[in-house]
Amino acid sequence: MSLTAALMNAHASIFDVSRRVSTVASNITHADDPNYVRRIAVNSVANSNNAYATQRAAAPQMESMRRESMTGSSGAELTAEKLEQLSRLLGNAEGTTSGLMKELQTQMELYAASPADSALGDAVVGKAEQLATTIRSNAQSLHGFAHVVGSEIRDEAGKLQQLLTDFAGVNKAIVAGRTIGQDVSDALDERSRLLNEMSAIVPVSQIHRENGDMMLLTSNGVTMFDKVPRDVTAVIDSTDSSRNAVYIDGIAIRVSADRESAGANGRLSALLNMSQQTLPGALTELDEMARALVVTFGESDSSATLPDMAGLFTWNGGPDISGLTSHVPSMALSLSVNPAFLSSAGGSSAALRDGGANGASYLDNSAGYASYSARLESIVSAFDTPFGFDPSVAGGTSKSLMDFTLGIEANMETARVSAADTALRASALTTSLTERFSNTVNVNLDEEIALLVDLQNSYEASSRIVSVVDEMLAQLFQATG
Amino acid sequence: MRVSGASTYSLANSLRTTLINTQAKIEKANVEAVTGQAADTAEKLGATVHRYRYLMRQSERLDSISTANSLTIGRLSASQAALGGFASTTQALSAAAHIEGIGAVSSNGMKNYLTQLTALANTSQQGIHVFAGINTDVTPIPDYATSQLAADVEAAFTARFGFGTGDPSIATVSAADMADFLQNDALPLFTGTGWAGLSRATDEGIQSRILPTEITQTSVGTNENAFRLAFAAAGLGATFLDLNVDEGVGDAIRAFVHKTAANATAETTILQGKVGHMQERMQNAQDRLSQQSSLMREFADEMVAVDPYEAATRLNNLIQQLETSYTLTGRVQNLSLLRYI
Repeated sequence: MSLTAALMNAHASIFDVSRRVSTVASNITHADDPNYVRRIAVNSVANSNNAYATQRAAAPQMESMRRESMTGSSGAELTAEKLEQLSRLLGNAEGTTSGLMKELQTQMELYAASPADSALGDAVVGKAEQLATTIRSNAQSLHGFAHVVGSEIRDEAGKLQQLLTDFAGVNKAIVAGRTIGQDVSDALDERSRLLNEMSAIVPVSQIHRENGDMMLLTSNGVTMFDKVPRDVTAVIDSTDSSRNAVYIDGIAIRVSADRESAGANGRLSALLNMSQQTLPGALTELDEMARALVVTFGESDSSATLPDMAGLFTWNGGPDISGLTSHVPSMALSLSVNPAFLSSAGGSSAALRDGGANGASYLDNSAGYASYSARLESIVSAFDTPFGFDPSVAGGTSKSLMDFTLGIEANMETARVSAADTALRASALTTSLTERFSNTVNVNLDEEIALLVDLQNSYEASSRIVSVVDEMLAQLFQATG
Repeated sequence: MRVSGASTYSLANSLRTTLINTQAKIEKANVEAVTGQAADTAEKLGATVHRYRYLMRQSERLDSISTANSLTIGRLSASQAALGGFASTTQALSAAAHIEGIGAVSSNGMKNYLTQLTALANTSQQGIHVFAGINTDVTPIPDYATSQLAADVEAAFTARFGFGTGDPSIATVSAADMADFLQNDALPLFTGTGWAGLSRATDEGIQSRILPTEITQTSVGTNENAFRLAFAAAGLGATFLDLNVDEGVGDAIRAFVHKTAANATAETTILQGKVGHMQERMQNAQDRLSQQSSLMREFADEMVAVDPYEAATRLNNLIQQLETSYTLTGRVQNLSLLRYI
């Protein structure tokens, strides 16, 4: 062991410390980045090649657990948010539609108590106009909402496609770097970040290959990435949202009919469930409400030979209502008050009391008595009598119109609250996993600074050796002249 | 690789998350402390929100029936008052017809009574005629003298005696004949189907919904016996006392009027009882409705009620929590090894 060897060791040590300081510097720079995995400088003194290595403090199992929970929580949060918006849009929290329905029945009751007062009749027609307008605009809002959800599906699909393309680039860089032994830590960090973002959209499973290559699959084994990214296409139907679908690699994403299960599978699945189940369901309910109103207020021929005709409420398929035995699509969009009852259109509200808006054979009060209340009272009772709703509607077939309306609102409110609950639970899990993960792989500033102090001391010691050896050599030279 | 530790990021993040969550809870607790009701009904009630809505709606429905009932009660009061006046008029008529000789009621006196009775029968309240059955925009009793019924009486007289009431031969009609005619030929026209020649009311009365599941009749009409007899007395009295007949026949006519008017008074009292019964029923219904309605409203309010004191306490706790997390955030951020090197 010569002095020269000692000098060379000191050099190596100084060089090593410098490298480690640069690792510490990199860690400190990214201390607040949650996607950055702490770099650990590997002790390379045994490595005589002087090649150094920096490791990532990765925790792959925890990472995939966290990713799974992120899929669940982002889907659940999106579902909760959309249901909240829907509830606001339809005014379910305040009970807008059921309130108007109640008021219509109340006005009818007042009119039935004083049938001679035509002002009360006009008030009923006014309420009916409000109700028809509300149902129509609710149906339009639902269609508008379906449009928005459709374009969000398109956006998410586009985002997924973009992420897959970026993933391809990063994956290639990793494979290339690994093959020639380069440090690919930054690319690995970037790849993790891309995977996190993808997990929020669809569930992602990874299959590791050699040289750091990765293959990506989604639920039911559909390939998303295998050397090249696969195509992600969204097919949006602007008239019938139940036809919306997203195809990955030509295979349609299977969406559960149950809202909670669909939400557990990421944002795309949550949006598709909304398009395919929730919105068409809500539209059908409105259509059925419209149909019940038209039939309840309809007029019948006293001799039972002519078909039943529309009374106070009609729609663009009227006036014959004898065919209204089951769900008629888009009926709610054209629900309106029959002009024969509107004084502004030359009609009169008296036909509510007497019948006969469709002709003399539909007249109930043929003698024209002013306090004839039988027809009005029968309609008031009909609000609380079971109506034959379509079996596909969640309200049930033997509910009365009033109960049906209340039931729809209550059901949607319950769904909204339950979705908010699910989202809360799912995001709590994600938060907790994220925290654990962050504590394991992210940077702790104090730790780095302590390390820095250590390195400073090493550096001082090593440079001391250099100056000591330098002194010794100088002494030797001095001695030898 | 750390087994357990903390990263700078997660420390900062958890403090931030706590702040945001606490602020959201404060907002809700604030609403509950102020209103005493749950901020989000569906969240508090879950699936029972359906029952809550149902209770509120039932309560409002009962209130609306109650409002409609008060109109009916008004109408029945007006009817009862009119019937009271009717009874006293027929009583006065009967008493007047009992007087003979000087002071006996004349044809003009009869006509006065007839006018009074007609006005009472045509009582209207809030634009509808209370004794018209359901034909309420038409006066039930028009002018008697020009009515079909008066013409029928005239035709019956001619059929029996061979000449009309304007004919001078009327002096040949005896008192007994006249009494018999009035009792057996003219009166049946009033009590039978001939009444339709005068009264335009319907037999069917006004039907009202007094309880959610009960519809009942809430009016009496001029087709009742009380009206028929009263108008028979006044109408026939007015027509026949106007004729040129001798005193004996006049007395027979007056006797008929007296008897018929007395019967009319008795019938009117029965009718008043009927209306009184309707009024009692209405009052009972109103009491029941208001009781049920307030009970339901009470149940509903209980379902969404939040103890405001509890909410206020919760609010205070949350505010303290928030302040603590502010302090902690400040202090933790200041913890750094750099300050000690």
